[in-house]
Amino acid sequence: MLFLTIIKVALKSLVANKLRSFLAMLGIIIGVGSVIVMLSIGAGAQKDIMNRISMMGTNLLSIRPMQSSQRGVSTGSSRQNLTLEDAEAIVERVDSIAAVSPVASNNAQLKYFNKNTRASVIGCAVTYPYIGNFEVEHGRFFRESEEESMARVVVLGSETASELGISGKQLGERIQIRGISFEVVGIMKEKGGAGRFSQDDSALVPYTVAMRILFGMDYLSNIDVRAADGADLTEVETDIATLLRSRHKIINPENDDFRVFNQADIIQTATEVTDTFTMLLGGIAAISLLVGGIGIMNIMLVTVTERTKEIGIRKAIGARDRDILNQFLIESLIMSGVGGALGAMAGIATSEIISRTSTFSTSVSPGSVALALAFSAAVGVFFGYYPAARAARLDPIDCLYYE
Amino acid sequence: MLITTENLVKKYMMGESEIRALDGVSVSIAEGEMTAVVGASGSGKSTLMNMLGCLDKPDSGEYFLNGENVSRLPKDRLAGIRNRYIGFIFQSFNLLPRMSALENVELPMQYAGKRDARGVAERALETVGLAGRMRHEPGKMSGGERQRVAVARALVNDPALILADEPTGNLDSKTGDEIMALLESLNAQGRTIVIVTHDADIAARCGRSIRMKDGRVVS
Repeated sequence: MLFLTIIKVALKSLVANKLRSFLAMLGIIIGVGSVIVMLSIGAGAQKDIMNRISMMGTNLLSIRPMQSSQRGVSTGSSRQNLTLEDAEAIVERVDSIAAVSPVASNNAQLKYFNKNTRASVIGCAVTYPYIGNFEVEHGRFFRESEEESMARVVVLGSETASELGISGKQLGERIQIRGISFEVVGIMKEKGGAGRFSQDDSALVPYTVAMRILFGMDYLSNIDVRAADGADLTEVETDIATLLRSRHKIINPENDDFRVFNQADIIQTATEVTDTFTMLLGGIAAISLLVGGIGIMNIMLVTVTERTKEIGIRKAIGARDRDILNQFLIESLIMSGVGGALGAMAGIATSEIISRTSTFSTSVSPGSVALALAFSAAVGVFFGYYPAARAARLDPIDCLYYE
Repeated sequence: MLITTENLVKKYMMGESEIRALDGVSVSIAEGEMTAVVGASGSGKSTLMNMLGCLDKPDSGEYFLNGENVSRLPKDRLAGIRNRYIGFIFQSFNLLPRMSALENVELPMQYAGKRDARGVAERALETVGLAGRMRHEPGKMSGGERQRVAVARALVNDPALILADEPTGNLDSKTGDEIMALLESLNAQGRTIVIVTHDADIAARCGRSIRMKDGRVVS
């Protein structure tokens, strides 16, 4: 039988039961739509992170403490093994370094009159804006003298400032961090990179203050390093690792209690995180697609029962089993295909709405649309096969005299 | 001989007991004959019709259609034989709803993979006197018109045999007459026709009657 005729017949029978066909398709529409939306949120988050990382410049290295382990067994007071002396040693002993900043950070409650916000309080050196390509928008960054004298001064991230209701006019006002009074000397310029991956929701204080007064830490959260322009990053990395190993009395590099991250590492880590996140979201959405497939199977089983007589007539005048199989299979394929296409449109529209109305940024990739469509077609064939095979196997006589 | 059957047996289980719907049926029908198969309900005439129409297979015995033994062929081959050699006319018309008369008549040719189905279908509908009703759906036609569409559908693949199962059973006597006249004219053109009926008047209009009782041919 001609393929076109089969499609025509299938369309006719779908149109004859509009509401039912639409409800069966709805499952696929929602499934495909949510797969596309979820993947677009994942891709959007990834783009945000990439933007943020690339904004920090490519010469950035970050040394972070790691769980040290010997023969697979973790030992000692982990994650407290980077010290201020390590940071100083890097400045003195490693070549091709433009700037180093020790970083001691923690989350803390900030308070300005009756306004409260939680922010990541980053204790850093005066070199920090230079290393991370941050700029001050209002006022100034804190000074080296303030760092040495442990002055209670703070530079607010743009988001933190607006949460507290502080603008350029309120510079010189005092806010409370963990109950200690700080003078606001500046507000950082918005760095963008929307959502939860931004550093705009931080507050910068001298590391001396963060360590000794705010958090009582005698270790560092990390050490940020900016290599000199044109420096060989790999060499700088190796030099830093060698230096720290000798300072931490580590012989075997496998037992390192720190790790030097470069831009590529950071990007990779971020990618891994968002990939997992995307797969998780996409997977949950895919389950709804599967449920949609079951809906189609249900409707197809009903259709086959209803059209038993038709099957008998077709067989009597010469339809072979595979003609009947194809006819019903194509009907369910059209249902899932049209559902998939509508779902794709709904998904793309929803992603657009989400990115316009919320802090999530979304990015619909052609690949994710193709994936969702292919998956919905596969669902149509998979769940359409059983009802179609059942129709094909029916005995022509039983069907002809079926009422 | 167009049709030869030898000792056809078909058994059914009805609860515990075995029923022989066909109990050794041997008939021959020559090309160009118009034959009635008559008998009370339960006599086995419907089963014989299904068998002759290649819709069913015998438990034992042989069926030669046009010289070919079709009694043991696989399902798909039988579908092909029904498509090419047999035209069915049913009591309840058995047209497909939601399709025009023309599309219904085209259907056997589509399963045969023929091109130009449209033209052949139009001519067949003209032959049965429905030139002006081609685009109508069966639901909007009278019983007589529907049966004419069914006759046209039975003719389009130029079958060797037309099998009609109570073709006038759902029609008033006047339209029934018209359908019979149509079948007679087809027979006059050399078409082999087998009509299953319990109506003595219809049987009388056929050249020959095969009377069935309890699964056997009695005359």
